[in-house]
Amino acid sequence: MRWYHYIAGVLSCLLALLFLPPLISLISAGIRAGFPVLSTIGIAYLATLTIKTACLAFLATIWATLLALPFAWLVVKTNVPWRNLWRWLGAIPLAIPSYIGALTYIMLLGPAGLLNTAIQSITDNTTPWVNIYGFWGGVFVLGSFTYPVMFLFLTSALERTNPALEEAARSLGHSQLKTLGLVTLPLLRPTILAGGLLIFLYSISDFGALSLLRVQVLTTEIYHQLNTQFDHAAAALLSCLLVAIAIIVLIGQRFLLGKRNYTTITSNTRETQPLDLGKWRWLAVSWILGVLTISFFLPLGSLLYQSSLSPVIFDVLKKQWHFATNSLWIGTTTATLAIVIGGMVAYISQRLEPWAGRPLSNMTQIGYAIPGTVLGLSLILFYNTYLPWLYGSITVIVLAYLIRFLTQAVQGSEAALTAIHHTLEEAARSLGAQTFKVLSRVIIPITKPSLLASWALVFISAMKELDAILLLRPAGFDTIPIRVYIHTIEAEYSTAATMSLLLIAATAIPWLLISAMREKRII
Amino acid sequence: MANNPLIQLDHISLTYPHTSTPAIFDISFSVPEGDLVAILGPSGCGKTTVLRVIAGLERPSHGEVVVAGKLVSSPTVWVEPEERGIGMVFQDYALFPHLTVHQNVEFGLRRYSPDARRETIHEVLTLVGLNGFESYYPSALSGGQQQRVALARAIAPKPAVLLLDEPFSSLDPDMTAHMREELIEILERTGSTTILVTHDHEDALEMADTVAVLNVGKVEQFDTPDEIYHTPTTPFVADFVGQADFVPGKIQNGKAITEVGAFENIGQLEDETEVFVMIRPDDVQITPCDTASAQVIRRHFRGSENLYRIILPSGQLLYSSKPSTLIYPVGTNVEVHIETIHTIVFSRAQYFEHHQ
Repeated sequence: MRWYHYIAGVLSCLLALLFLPPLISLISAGIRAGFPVLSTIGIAYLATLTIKTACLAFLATIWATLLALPFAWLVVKTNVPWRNLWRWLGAIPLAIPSYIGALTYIMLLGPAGLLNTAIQSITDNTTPWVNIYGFWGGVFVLGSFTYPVMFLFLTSALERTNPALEEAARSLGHSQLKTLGLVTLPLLRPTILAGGLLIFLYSISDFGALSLLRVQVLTTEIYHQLNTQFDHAAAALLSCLLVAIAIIVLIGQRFLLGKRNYTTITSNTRETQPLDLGKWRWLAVSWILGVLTISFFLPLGSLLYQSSLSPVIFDVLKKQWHFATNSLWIGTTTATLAIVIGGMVAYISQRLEPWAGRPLSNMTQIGYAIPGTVLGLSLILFYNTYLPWLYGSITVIVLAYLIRFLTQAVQGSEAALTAIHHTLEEAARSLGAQTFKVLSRVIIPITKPSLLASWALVFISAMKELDAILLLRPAGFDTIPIRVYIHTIEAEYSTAATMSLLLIAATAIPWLLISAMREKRII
Repeated sequence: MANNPLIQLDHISLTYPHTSTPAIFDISFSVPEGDLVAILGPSGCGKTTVLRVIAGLERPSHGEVVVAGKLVSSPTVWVEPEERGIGMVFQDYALFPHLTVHQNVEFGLRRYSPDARRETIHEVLTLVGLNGFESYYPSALSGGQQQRVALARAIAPKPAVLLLDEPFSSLDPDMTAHMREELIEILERTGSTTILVTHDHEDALEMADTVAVLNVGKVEQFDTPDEIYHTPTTPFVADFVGQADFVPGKIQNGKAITEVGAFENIGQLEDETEVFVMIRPDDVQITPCDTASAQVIRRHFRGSENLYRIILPSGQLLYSSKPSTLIYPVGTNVEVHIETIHTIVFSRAQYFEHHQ
């Protein structure tokens, strides 16, 4: 046994203690709830809720794909004007969390929103013309703000697709349009399924946006049972249902993809002539502008407009400043802990003991798949029962975020480590360096940019998180997302908009800084 | 030849956007029906571009392409690749990963009736020896099998012309020789007119009826394989197609006089012109002789032959090819005697244009 074996052992135990007990309490509470709770809630109601949740997520995924697919194809494969600009802008809506997206559309299309007010002032008709609240509003908002995930997946897949495949189809007698249908789209199928899965899982687990849009789905019902009915058992049962949907969809995706592996990534990165759109170019530009208007220009514009309505913006910021420091504190602590632990997990699984590290790294992935509301609930169930002195402290929030976001740090570090060929470490060893020295002189300096990027990713995720912290926060401990949520519910839109802009800036700036530093090779 | 040209390239030039020098420049040649033409050249010489121009995957900036008597590309005429009836085997095969072998081959048979499709697929898969693999996905096949599927797919619609882009570059070297033989046999049986692109002069010399040697986008020589090898018209061709040494000399009294003998002044160069004589290793005879001043400095054992590096008194180096059983140790003094059927003499200016 070497010293690092002990470290690996201790780390595994700690992580297992962090991840497993809350999940076990959740499942056991759900099972114990069983039939008595089922009969009080009503099976029919439960079934309706489940189907509604799944339908909403499915339709949001379709909407996101509709927004992303033509957009991605246009910027990668055609000569649409200013394609590089569009490509950059296409991913930007990721910076807007879905609950802020919901806020913007409530301001724009709510019953008392800008559009309805404008129409009423013209027509004297007092019934609202559009209403964003409800099922279709949920579909629209979730799809519009998650499409960048699909967009990023598709642009990278389209770029890596071997251009010779399309040329082969042409030389075998098929027109450009038929080639699109026979070759390009079928090759994108695995990518669409993978991106769609992420969006679907995100949509069924979203609480913030759907709760603001007053849609009843599983997550909002869990929150309702917990916070107004104080029924832990019912909430646990609903959570188990939600997790079941996620698992079914995951298995379904595996099944659909089958064994076929379309690795068409090619060393042949020859630049291909983009398709000439001719007179359709301006139609393409208007399509792209339409997508960006829905997902970026309108939301940002409405935030800027609303926050400018607040008479003294600095007063708002001053009053709310300690909420911002709470957010920063939580984000920094979580990101730093995650990168230290995640780096260790990655090093163990990639270099020292794959047999111990693989399960560890897989375990961290479970955390990401658990909806924030469900995670909050399971931590309440466990810590409230067994460690009540920890419950209701900031520590529980950090623990929850570690469970949720540790995998981002692990995967970032693993990717960075796989990029280092093992001969580099062997060279260091043959020059007499010991494990620790190899780590500090070779591995960490080389992986530093990726580690910083992973840190930023966890930081941003923790800063934006709303669903779990709503359930777990100690009384009086508010963060920016919570303020956005509360002010939106209370229809104090200008304060909510100001806080939203603050949050978007706080999450966008670290990311822009790190990308700029990477580009200039400072780190 | 009595056959009409099936493909005709007329002063083709192509400059890619964002580059100043043309990728190919003023390329003209024609391919008679049933012939196999090899386009040979180093990487980046534009040989694949020529193929892509014929297939209709690139549009040339100048010149015309005529296929089977029909103008398919000119500054004013453009026929889309799917309308040209030209089969192509891509360098990385470009098999559709989401389709089976059967579906891949079927892909180009859209105008066939279902019965005719089945028959054709069976026929071409038999031809390439892949019957029984219809339901496999390309990822389950070896490199050689993938290549044969790509070939079957390209010939299934009975194209007027078959284009092969570096057909052997993705194969293991020990498979290349085998596939080369197989390919020649298949092409002979289908009687296709074929253009093949390769960087390997052995492929070109063995398979082609005619070879076009390309260098920086220009055709240096368009000739039969024998002429390309024995009577190269430029130092580049001499150097690229097989091993060659260039021995300096001078024209005196109508002969090219060098350290290793006098050669015919084939270019009718003027007296006192400084020249270089091209000598292939198989033309260099060596006999051991203690008093001789040339010496063996290295033996490269190639299995089927011994290639000897010889240093002449002046310091000039020469290669000599000998049977594998004939062994002269390093340091052996040898007499050098050149026996050539074709003498190739380049002027100093010509030579330095290539060897800068």
